Amino acid sequence: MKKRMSMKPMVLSLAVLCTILGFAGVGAAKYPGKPIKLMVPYPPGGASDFQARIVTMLAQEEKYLGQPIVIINKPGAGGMVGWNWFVESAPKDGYDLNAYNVPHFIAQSIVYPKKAKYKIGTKEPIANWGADPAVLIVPRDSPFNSVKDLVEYAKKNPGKVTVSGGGNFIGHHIALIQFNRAAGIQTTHVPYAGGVPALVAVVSGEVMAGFNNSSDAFRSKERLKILAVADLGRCPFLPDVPTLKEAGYDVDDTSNNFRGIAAPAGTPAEVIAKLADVFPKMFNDKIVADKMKETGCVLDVIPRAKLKEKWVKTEALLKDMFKDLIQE
Amino acid sequence: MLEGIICVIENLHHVFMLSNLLVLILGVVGGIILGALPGVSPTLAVALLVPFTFYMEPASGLILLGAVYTASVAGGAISAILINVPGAPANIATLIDGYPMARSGHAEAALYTCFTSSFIGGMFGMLILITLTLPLAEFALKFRSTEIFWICILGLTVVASLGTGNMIKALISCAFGVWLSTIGSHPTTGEFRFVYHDMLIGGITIIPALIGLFAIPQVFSLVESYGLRRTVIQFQRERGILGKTILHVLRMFRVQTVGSIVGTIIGLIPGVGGAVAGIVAYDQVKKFSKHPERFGTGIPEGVAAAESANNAMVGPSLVPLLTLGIPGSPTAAVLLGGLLIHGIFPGPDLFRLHPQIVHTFIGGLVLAQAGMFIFGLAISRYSNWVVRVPDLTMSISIIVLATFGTYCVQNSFEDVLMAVGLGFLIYIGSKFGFSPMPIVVGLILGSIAENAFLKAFIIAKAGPGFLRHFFTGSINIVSILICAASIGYGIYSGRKGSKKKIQFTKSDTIVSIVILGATLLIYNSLKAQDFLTSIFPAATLIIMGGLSLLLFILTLMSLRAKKEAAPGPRTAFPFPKVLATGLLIVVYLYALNILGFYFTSLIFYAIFPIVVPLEKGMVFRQLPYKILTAVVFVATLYVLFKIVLKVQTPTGLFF
Repeated sequence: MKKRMSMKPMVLSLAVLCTILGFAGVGAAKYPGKPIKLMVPYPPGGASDFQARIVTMLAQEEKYLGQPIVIINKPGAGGMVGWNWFVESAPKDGYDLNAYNVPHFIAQSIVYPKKAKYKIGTKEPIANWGADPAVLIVPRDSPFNSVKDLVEYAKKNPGKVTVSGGGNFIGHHIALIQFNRAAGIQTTHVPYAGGVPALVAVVSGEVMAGFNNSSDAFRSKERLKILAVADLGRCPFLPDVPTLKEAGYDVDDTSNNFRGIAAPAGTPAEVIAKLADVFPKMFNDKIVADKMKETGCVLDVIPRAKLKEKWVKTEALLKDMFKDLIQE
Repeated sequence: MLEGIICVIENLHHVFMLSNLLVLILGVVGGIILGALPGVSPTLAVALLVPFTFYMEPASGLILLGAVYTASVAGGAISAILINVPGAPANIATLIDGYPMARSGHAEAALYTCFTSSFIGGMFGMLILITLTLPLAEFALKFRSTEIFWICILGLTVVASLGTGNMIKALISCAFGVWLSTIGSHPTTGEFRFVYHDMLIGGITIIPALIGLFAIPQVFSLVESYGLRRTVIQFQRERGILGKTILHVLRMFRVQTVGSIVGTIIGLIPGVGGAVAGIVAYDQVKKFSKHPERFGTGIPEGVAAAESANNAMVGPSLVPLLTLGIPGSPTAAVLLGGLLIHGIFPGPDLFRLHPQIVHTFIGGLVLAQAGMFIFGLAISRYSNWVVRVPDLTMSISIIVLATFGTYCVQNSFEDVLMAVGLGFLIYIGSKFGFSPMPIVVGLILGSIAENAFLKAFIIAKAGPGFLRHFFTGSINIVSILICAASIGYGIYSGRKGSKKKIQFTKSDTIVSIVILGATLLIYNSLKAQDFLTSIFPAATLIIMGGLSLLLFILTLMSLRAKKEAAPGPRTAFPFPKVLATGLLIVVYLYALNILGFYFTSLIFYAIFPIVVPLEKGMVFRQLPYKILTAVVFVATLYVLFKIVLKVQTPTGLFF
């Protein structure tokens, strides 16, 4: 009798223990076993934020990750606050990912080697979801009707042409530096706190021209003239706008704002392999692709292997471009 | 003009669909509650709800976001009035008179005044949005960098007349706030200034600083006065107070007109926002009043001015977004994301391509104003519950809420530390006659002013030249004239009231020397920067140093003039209690990351009364009530934010 009485709780606790261990075992074997956090280093509502929300909206479906992705915003210093936190403090177990913006983070790592705690080696690229090329815009009533008009004026009046952009060392600024070099002109760069105020400055005629996001410029096209796009090919929703290359100025797609997902260096290889396999499929899902199209964003899915090459190439280009600007 | 109204009315039946109406009510009630939590600004409230609209019909989703926006702006006044901590920057002017009203037993009247004025201002703003959209869009584009710079300077001059205390100390605090805004990476040039620690790379974020500056001194003042002020105000609910208050508010014709017009104009200016609207309206109403000296003592006019202005801003702030596709405020930027997700491109095409959705959205906003009014009044009835919470429980709750609010703004524990640090600093400062309001105004306007100044400066150098660029243009000239008038009035009224107002004490000599020394040290750390990066902070520090020198000289002069240093009413300062509270806050913050936010908060409720030595038997008095309060409070936060809205908090071993 006595034995049986004491057996019962023991069996019960054993069963509970097995269940817990079983779950733990399953959890360890099957990644992901809980929701994944995706850190976006920009405030909610911006293009990077809402695109991140769109491209990850299907994560919970069994055919992809089977777990939801939760967006965490950590804005500040043009992304530096979030990315610094990410490489210094984020757990490397695959449950903490971040959204990256290239060329921004690479440019920061070159210009501010002390303040920025990251460089391309500290992040493992997973997959790229989108690209937002910079476009050259002027106000609707501007006397410039083509890139040529602007270049001719700038040649006669060095430094007089004011060109707005969303901040220093981001895509817009890089496009302007490339354009200045290719056309052999001098212009005055006017950095604004973000793409939208920089766009307003062109619409209101505060500045004479600007480099801005193609998607934002497209929405304001009735109040602007879009002269050229700084990309290798034309923009699908701006088919009449030539590339700078077509207009005769040798500018490539370095300034193109690429957005995608990265994991911290040190994340287990099998986790990265799984994510690198799932994410491109998820980005190309018809539901995601349609939603991106509706919002006027260009879907540009680049898999991990190609992305790695691209980052190395971009870093080399930017190192050359900013070699005189490096700050301690 | 009128066709706008007709279109909105024609589409109103879409809002009245049962599902949309439910969404509207949910948005309004949720918005008021979210807005009332310090730290959950309208921007954050809307951002938290955007993911919920992914799977809704576009119209319902937009009604939800519009309702939350409208209601959270008004909701921010609740915490300003009841606990002296503004829910968002837009409500800082509300607490100047709102909290004194609540402290003297008129919390309910203050809230009724607030929601009635919010409704009047809000409807005025909506009417402007509906009837004058296109001309206003053109007007909004006239505000370029120089115009915004001058408007900011105007806002900064208001600081001098805002407080009732020492004007020079207010200006020093304001300069300190402007300096705080220059810390970290500059948003346009990307250069770094005053980064003494890596924590400061992102700079001082406005909302966490706002909460720290108001909440921490409030906690200490509750702890200090505990046991001293045994006369806890017990008051009867006045009969018919609702009707009386509404009638009274309706009679404040001039206050409402000034508030609504100021709110509308400032709402249109891209990037300036509600904080400025409230302060400028409050200041104007005070200057035009027959009894300016009564402002700040708890009069309904003060609450009415601030609240009608910050709600009048809501409608016009959407004009640039809806007509040009350009968000004029951070909240509008989040709304833009919400629109884009549904494939709706705001901009010139919007009214042509999606007239039904736009007009349903605007109709929803109008109805949300009405909903905010009705539910706001209903919630106000229960304000006594909050007023009756014992000071001890209240101070713990303020610490927990403030920590939560500062953390969730951008998921940053550094923000919490900075907020509490600033709070400790201003608490010490408050012992020497400094107050948080001017610091916050400086912090908010400083970065806007600097950004505008730098851009205008670069453009002026490339083209028109400095003088022509800054001092021509009708809006510039008008702003400069108002600035001059404001400063002139400040000096005039300061001199008129100088006999009783500005008092200097012996400690001011030491205070001014300490500030001067600190200013010199800070200035010294700036010298290695290039011209564009350093000009604005350098000018700020020179002004701050000059002001502290002025304070020193004036103190010496006034002390020599009248030998007797007026000793204030001396009360025993409960040093052990205050020190224990301060230490406990530090321990609490330390434990958060180890044990998790919700768990630590529960423990904190239990430990605080034991560690902070208050009266005998305090721990056990009303024990069940206290346990219930703590559990309900923390559980509500947990369910609402962790489970429903998926907000992150520090998690450690527990939850």
